Amino acid sequence: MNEVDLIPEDFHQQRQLQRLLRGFLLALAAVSLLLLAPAGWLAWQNNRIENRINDLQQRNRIGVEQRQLLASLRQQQQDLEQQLQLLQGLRSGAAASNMFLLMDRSLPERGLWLTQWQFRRAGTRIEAEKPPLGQGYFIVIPKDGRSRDPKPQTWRIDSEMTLGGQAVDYDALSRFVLRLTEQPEVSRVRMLDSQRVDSGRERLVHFRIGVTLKDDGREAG
Amino acid sequence: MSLFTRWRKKTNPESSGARDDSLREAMGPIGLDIAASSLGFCQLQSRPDGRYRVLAKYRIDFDGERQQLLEDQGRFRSLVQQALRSKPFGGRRVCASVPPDRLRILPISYRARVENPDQEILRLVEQRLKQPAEELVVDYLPLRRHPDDEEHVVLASAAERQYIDRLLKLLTSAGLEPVALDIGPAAIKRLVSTLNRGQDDRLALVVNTGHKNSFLTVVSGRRLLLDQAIGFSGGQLLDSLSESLRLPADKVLALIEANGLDPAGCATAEQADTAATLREIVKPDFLRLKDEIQRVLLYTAADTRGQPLSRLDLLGCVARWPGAWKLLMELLGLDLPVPDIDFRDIFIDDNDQTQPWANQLPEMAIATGLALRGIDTA
Repeated sequence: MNEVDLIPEDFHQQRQLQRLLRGFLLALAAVSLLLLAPAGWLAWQNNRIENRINDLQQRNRIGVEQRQLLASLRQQQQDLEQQLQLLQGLRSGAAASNMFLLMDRSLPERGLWLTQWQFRRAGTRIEAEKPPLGQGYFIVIPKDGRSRDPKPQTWRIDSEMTLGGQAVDYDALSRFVLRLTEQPEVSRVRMLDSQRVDSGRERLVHFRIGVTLKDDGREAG
Repeated sequence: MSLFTRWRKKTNPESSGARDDSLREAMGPIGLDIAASSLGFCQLQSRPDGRYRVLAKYRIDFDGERQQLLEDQGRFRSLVQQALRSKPFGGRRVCASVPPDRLRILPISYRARVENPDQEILRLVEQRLKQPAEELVVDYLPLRRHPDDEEHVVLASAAERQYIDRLLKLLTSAGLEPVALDIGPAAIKRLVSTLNRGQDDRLALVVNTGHKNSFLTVVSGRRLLLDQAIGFSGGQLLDSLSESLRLPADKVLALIEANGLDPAGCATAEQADTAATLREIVKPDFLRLKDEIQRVLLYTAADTRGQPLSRLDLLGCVARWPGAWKLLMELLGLDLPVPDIDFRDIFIDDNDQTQPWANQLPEMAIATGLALRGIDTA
């Protein structure tokens, strides 16, 4: 059927081109969507996994910190226990009355008298390999990561008496020292100082003696 | 057939059957009649029984001149959108008519033996309009093209290219998708052909009246025989009435709408008197119209072989005047059936959205003819 159409041909062509272009853009958008959707999904999954990893790392970090804190606290506990043992060690040992008895047994009948008495009990850190046998009692410190010294260390508790006095002569002094060394509680006797002093009418020997007491055979740690 | 349609048919043969049925009930474009003072919209759907279902129709009057409206893109767009929102129009494909004031319709005779009739017609149009073809958009409808004739006759339509470009831009900016720019006579021919279906020897005359000028269109069966402007118009009639009654045009129009031109159809004697007065005043103009019609029928008698007129349609502004069609029939001495009868039988308004209107044929004839484009089976 014949029809009149006053739309110029180029308008139809232009519209067709626009339709083609629109179709192409729609197809392009669809393809882009098809490509971008999996990429987006993967990115989302990746992000989710990264977040999970970060979360786990954070938890792990907290766990490590807590483990370190626990170790630190354990170490602190151990140190405190050691200090407690040390203090207990220091508080124990020979009683003062026994020490006076010891001195009394050692004093000669005449010619020597004491003017000074000092007693000291203290802990000293020493290597465990060379325990000074027969001296004090020891607290063994176990080797741990914190210690740079590969050798185990112990605390040695020394009980020492320092005696000061005067003797009429060296003979009385030597008898006193000898009798001290014969006492079972005494480990070592050292002459720290001695000198003869003229005091007008007579001459006296002033002395200072260090006496190390034996431990009572107990060990701690 | 598109790739998608082929795939659907292959994967679901049952749905393809349904689709074939739906194709038989094809939906046409929106017919848009850009009339002198109104926009008419119509959309049809062809039915398997050869009739048409009116999917949607809408008519909206506008103030001022048509050219002013066409130059105001925003106003035109808002009117179009109002129409599209008001009724259930399907899609935005539109077949619009080029306003007659910017259209030149010329019967062109050319020698039947020319090698390239298109070129010859274009040359003759250029010659008649004294305007280069590059500035024009031209198309034509064959009027007489018997192989034995020495001369063939076409109805050429021409409009300025710039104007057509502006019109297309206006339509697209209003959200429409122009599929064709048609002309009024072609739309009338399509409508009358549909009304004449199955009776190719029926001769129809359409008087399309406007405010400034009117056209006579003669259609024989499915053939457009003639479209011619005549010296008769609604404005001319109003002027005569206004002058005789010493009343302004709007008062005269109100009198005509209230009383009409047929005293026999009036309810009261007073109305009948007024109608008789109005009839007497317009009668001379109607007699001139009668002469024009007789002249045209005489001119086309050779093509119609003396076939009598089977139908006469009065369209446009004068058609809204009650009794105008009857007066014309009386003056022509014809006794033809009322044109609305077969129109309502073929164009079915059977849904809530499209109740039939009182003046549907005269007011929507062009829009209906445009809406038939592409789906008319007559």
